[in-house]
Amino acid sequence: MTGDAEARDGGGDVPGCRLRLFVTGGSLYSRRALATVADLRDRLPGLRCEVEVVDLLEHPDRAGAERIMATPTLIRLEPGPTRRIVGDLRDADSLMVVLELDLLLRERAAGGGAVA
Amino acid sequence: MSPPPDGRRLAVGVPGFDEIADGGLPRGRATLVVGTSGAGKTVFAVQYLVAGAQAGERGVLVTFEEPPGDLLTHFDAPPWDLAGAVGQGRVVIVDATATDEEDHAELGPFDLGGLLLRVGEAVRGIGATRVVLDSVGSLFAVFADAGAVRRELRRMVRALHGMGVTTLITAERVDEYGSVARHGIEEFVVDGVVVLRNPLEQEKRRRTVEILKLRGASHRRGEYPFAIDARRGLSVIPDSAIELGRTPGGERISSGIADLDRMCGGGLFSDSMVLVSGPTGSGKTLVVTEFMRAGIARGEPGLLLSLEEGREQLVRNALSWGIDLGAAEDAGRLRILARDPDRMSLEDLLVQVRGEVDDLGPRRVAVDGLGVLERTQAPRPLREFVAGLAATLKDRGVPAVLTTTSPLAGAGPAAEGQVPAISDCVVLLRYVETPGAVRRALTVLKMRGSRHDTSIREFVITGDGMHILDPLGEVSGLLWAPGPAGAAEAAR
Repeated sequence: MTGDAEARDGGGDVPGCRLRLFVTGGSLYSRRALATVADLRDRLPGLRCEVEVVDLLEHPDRAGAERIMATPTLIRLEPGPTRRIVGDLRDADSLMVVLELDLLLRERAAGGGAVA
Repeated sequence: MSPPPDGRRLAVGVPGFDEIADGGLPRGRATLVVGTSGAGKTVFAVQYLVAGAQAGERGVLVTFEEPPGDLLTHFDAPPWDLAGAVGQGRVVIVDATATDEEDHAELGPFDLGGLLLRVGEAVRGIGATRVVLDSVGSLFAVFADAGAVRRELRRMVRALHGMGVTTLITAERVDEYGSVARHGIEEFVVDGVVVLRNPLEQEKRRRTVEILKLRGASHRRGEYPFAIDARRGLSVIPDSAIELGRTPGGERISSGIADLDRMCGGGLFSDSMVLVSGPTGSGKTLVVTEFMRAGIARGEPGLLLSLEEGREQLVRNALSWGIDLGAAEDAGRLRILARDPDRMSLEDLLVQVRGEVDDLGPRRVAVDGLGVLERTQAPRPLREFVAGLAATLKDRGVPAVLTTTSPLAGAGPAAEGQVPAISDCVVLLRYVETPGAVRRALTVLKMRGSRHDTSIREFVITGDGMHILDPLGEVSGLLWAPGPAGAAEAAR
């Protein structure tokens, strides 16, 4: 996968993960999801993680464009393939596993040698 | 006929359904339409939106199963011109199908706020009064948390109620006569439940619709047959029992056979249904042909439905009696429909006949060969077909002659099911054995609303039609026995 190669060669400047989070205003689940994603970013030392937050109450057109059903919905754009996770995202540890970012971190720690 | 428009009801636009629903769906409420796969739920829903669009209303279709592109391809012509309605900006489709190319995981509790927003935007954007959710069962396949889906659907129904729209929700069920719907959906769609069925009866599909409940007002109970027809769409055949109880009356018309008119007390009633029963070759088709000829001669359009013989054979037979049906058809005074009832359901057949009746406006209708239906169809669909036909014709004041086949010898009307009971007039054709010869005989068994000649008359068929002769003095047992002669009696 090219993403891995770039991360290894380019160091911290190349985004290791790109996420898009759809929320609905300040609802309970939305607040929890935002907090969990923030927590997740704190636990990814050396891994650049871009997060775009879309509040559907402010941008309802985005819901149709991205065919959002459930909220919160987190879309993992990178690393590929694209993946959707719905829910309040529980906690950073669980989210890291579901996003498979723990694998990415381990590869980094191993100097990128673990690329399958 | 349909009840007058009522502020509390919204006409679906499915002929016959609004009649049994006492005007339509409860306005501003949600009604659940359930059925097994292929029962016609989506067709019903699309017709609801398209009929609304034609009446100037706006609609939103939230599709959970079929991608919008597929819907627009399937429903691109009347009576289900969804594509046209979308093109004119009268219907908006909200794509709520699963995004198939992506993995989907659930992590913690969620709501369906995204979908709710999209539906709300669509309803407000277009100013919709009609909303369809088709079919919500798919949500349970997409999301593992069934409790959350139920809760969110309930929330959506409440929100739609708050918007004042009339919502039709479809859902799949497993068994034709089992629980209302899967996943307990009916528990939160409390305003109305409609069941579409498509059970197999005697190797034929028979579509029915039943209203289980409808908030706020009365509705008719029980199952009603319906048909899906590419010309007129989905239509329900309402019960016609009340109309059938009506005594025929008014004008008399000629049966085409002067002697038969006399036997009936001066002709047939102009809105009556006449049943002609007789064994093969006894002259049933001739009676039908004479009936049509009398109309043609007066310049009235007629409709002739033939279930046993093809068009060519029918025209040839008539020519041998000196009647040119082909010429009448060319002159636009007659339409011959030859249909093979093995190839279509009776509901579809009835809808076709109704369509022809509406198009042609016939003053006479004949159905030749009901006997084939009695052999191939279950009693109930047959009874409904005849009752539906009778209701259609009585509604329009059109007389009809129907023929049915009786065994070659003996057997009375009891063996012929429900049709005689529905008929206003029953004419029996029989072979009778008289000393030295087998003859044809005829009697008028029943003539509702009039005195009639009860004698048993011999008749002959010649190159110019049917001629009724004098009463056969020595004959008895026309109804129940093969004839008075000893041979048949001895055979018992």
